[in-house]
Amino acid sequence: MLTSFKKAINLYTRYGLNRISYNHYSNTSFSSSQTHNNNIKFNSKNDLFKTSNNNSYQLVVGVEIHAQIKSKEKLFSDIYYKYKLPDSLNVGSLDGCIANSRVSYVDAAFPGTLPVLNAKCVEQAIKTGLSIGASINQHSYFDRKHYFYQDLPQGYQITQYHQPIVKNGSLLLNLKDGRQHNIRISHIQLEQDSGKSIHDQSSNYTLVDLNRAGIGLMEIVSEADFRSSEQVGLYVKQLQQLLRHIGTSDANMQLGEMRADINISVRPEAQEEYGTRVELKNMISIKAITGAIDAEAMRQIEILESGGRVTRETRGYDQTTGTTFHMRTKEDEVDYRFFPEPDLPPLRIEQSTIDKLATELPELPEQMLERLVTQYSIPRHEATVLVEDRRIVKYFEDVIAFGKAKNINRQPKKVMPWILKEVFEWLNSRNETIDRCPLAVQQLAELVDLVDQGYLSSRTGKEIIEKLLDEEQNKGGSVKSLVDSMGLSQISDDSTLEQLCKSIVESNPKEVADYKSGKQRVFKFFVGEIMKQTKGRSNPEKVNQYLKNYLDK
Amino acid sequence: MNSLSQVRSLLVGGRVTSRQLIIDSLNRIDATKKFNAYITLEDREKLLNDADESDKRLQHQQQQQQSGVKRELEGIPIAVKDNFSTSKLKTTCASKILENYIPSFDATVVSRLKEAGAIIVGKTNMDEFAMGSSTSTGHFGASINPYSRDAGESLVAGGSSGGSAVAVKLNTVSAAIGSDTGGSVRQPAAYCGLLGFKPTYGSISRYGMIAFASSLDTPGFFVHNAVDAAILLDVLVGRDCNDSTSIEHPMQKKFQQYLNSRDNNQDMKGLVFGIPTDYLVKEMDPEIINLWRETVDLIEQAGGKVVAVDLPHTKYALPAYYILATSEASSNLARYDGIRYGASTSGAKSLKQQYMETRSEGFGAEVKRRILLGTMSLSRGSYDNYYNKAQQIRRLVSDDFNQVFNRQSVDILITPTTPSGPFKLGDNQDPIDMYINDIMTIPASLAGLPSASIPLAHSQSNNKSTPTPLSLQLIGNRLQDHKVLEAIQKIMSLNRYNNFYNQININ
Repeated sequence: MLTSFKKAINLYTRYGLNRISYNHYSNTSFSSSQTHNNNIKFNSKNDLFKTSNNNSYQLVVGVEIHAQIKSKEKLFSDIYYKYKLPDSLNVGSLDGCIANSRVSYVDAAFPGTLPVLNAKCVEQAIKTGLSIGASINQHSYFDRKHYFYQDLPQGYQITQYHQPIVKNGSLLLNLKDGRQHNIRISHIQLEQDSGKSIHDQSSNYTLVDLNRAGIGLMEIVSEADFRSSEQVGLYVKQLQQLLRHIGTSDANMQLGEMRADINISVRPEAQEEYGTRVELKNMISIKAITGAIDAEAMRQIEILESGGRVTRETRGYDQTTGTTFHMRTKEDEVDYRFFPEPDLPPLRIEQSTIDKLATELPELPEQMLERLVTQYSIPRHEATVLVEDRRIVKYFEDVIAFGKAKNINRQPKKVMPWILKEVFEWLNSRNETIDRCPLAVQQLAELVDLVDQGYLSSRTGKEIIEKLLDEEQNKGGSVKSLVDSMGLSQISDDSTLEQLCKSIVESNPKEVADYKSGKQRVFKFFVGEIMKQTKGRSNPEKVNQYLKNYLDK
Repeated sequence: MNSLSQVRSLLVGGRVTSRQLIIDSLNRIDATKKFNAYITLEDREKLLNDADESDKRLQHQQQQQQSGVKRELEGIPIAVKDNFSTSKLKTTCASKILENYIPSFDATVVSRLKEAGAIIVGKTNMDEFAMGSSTSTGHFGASINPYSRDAGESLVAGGSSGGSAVAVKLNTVSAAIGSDTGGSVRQPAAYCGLLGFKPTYGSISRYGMIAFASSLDTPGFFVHNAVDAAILLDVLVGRDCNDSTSIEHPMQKKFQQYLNSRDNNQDMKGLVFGIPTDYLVKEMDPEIINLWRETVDLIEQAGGKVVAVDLPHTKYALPAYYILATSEASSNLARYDGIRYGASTSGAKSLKQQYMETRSEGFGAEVKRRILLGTMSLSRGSYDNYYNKAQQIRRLVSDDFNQVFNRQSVDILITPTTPSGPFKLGDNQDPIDMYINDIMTIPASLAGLPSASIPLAHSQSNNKSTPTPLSLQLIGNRLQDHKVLEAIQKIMSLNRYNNFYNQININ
């Protein structure tokens, strides 16, 4: 649609820009702070760094998260996209999207275009605010933040500098060692995303893709409440889960739907005031964030230890070397010349709107966790794993509840192992989501029941579930008919089992003698032989009973 | 003089065709080229095709003997200032930086004109990015005031919508769209002897109008009389979902009806006029003071009530305006970087150089001056003393008006439009002198009030080479545009003024 936009592709910009290495890490797990430096150690008991001179330092970190708002429309541009995007995609689902194909005249800042606020984005920000217990600012407004860059078409970003829509929230972190740590969130502001500059396609040109330009962002700004990189990593992870849970952002860091800027300083343990802070920009994975914080903390402590002073600057992080590098100093910072956006009237939100949105919020992860633990008597750590994705919680609860009308009481502790092991293996190995899992709720329910009834041994059950988790092999029928067709049902027939046990005992006189002489362990040999002959289908309890009968005779 | 309403009744009555009007219009434009009213003309064939389509519809209407007007402006040629986006028709804002810019969409004003059947013949000249009071700062040269006599005595048309004023004055069209940020419709209307109307801020959509100062920019127009103004208001006023600052107007689509419902005579009973004594500035031309005084007398004689009012913050309005307008301009013009559209420098070796050279080459001196002023006002060290203070003054100016309209129950304020008549092209080179031209029009802009300039008399002073028009300004309360129309109607039909258009024969 933008014919004159081809120009952008030819923008000639041979200027030195520090590149951030965009290494993607699929592994979002993180470890507690590890130091590469042998002289400085982090003590996770008191969250302090200790140097070889026995000086203690405390880390102080504040985090700004940019999360793309889940919506069909951009923050301020027209409804053009609505009619072109399939249901499953949002305007921010840019993976595989052709460059500059999702750009309106407003997004490209054509002369005479004006921003029109998209109500959906506002609702998403309010929901996010409510989910962190924040207050919603019923009277907020937008400001322009000016700077010149090729991927910022207007020459300014529309943001909320003076009166953000959400204020004073918090997020409670569940630390690994069982402690909890509260992070205050000072505010959430609505703002536009910029386009994307691509510097590595040509040595002479920078390419510009405006698909992202104008997409709504929530900038979630924390207070400087973090004292370890672990806390920051957890915060990002919990926030990510929360946003996905309530459906306000897909928050995928690899796809740039969630990005973090980190403000970091260190101070001697006894010191009251904060040290000079350094900003780490554009962290794109939790691993990068924790790595960068640790590396930067070390760097700052080493400077202080050698009698130097930390300078205020913006730094990037190189994951390959595990070190931070200088990007720009405060003197290079532009004057953003904020002023109230004259194209948009102030944003007023009625209390009734807030109340309505509050009722639309789903059960929050914390509440859900508590409920799972009490309602199903499952261990907290297992419930925690489920709550990471509310769709899995739903799957679990659907399996428990399936056929409830027929008075089947499926025990949660018998359902959980299948989900935690086999289902999760399937999810993780394929990087898939539960709604695409071929193992239907009723199939897992039936499988659990069959094992419970002794129709199937749990070992055979594993064989069956592997087939059911294979799209090619799972034809969607009943589990029982699959078991039968494969001849895998458990042998519980007494006469068959008794006959088997008898013949095994009779054909192994040496082992019988060993057993009788007191070597109890040999019993397992007999069980193993039976299982071998029946391919694991024998009912283990009955086998035990008959073997004992013959051996102890 | 062919007013919009006259042209319309000729068309509807079948006494003229749209094709004839278009041909006449193009001939007039061609014959008056030296006045430089237009930057771009629509393609002749397209115009004639559109006219033929209109003629078919008009003919059909006549055959069906349908009474009334189906589409308000069917087949009528209209000119539009070159800061309104016109799909497939070059829109330059009189700037080198948009010299070859062809929009892909119509401004809401343009689409509403087209929906009403109007035919856009061309895009009129202006000050670059509407920054100026003379229509001489643009990349395509100055427009010449039709009141000028030759022999190097060219007078400015006023600005920034001077091209539109000249286009109407020269009868190339019977109405033209302009835009008014601090007086850019009212001042050229005064200089060229036309009715210039600036409605309440937000009542006509700004979508597609290239922004100068968003909180002040107001689409407006040049016509000959109140009826014509009512026709255009009926076409243009109304909320637009593409402009968040646009509003519903209680009188939308009812302006003509309202005007008809008022007594069509000079009886001023029921109208309260306010005379803001604070507008009596020392720079004011005695002839204009006399006209002002005389008009007030005539209003009283016609039964109107006249009261003196105080607008004590008026003297701060001009500096506040120039801080706010330039601040917003510095921001609104940041998008012209030569990357996505518009003129671009060639061979820049860095992004910074790309920006600097494109903008240095693309913008004229006045635009650069205002970008610099605005950038300074918004900068970290100056914001509180400049932008913030100016916003506070704006509020005080607005409160002054509220006091007068709402507490003292004044309907219409009557003031001069400009302190003096049109100056010679090339005079007033000092930017500050130029800014003073807007001293009377700016307060209503800051408050977003409906306001109009009406031509009433001609200069009689002997030291001028030619009798130039003398005008007064009317200001109404917010959303009381219809009251302003009513006042225009009544004052312009006072016996002393009602033959204004016949007093002087120009060209």
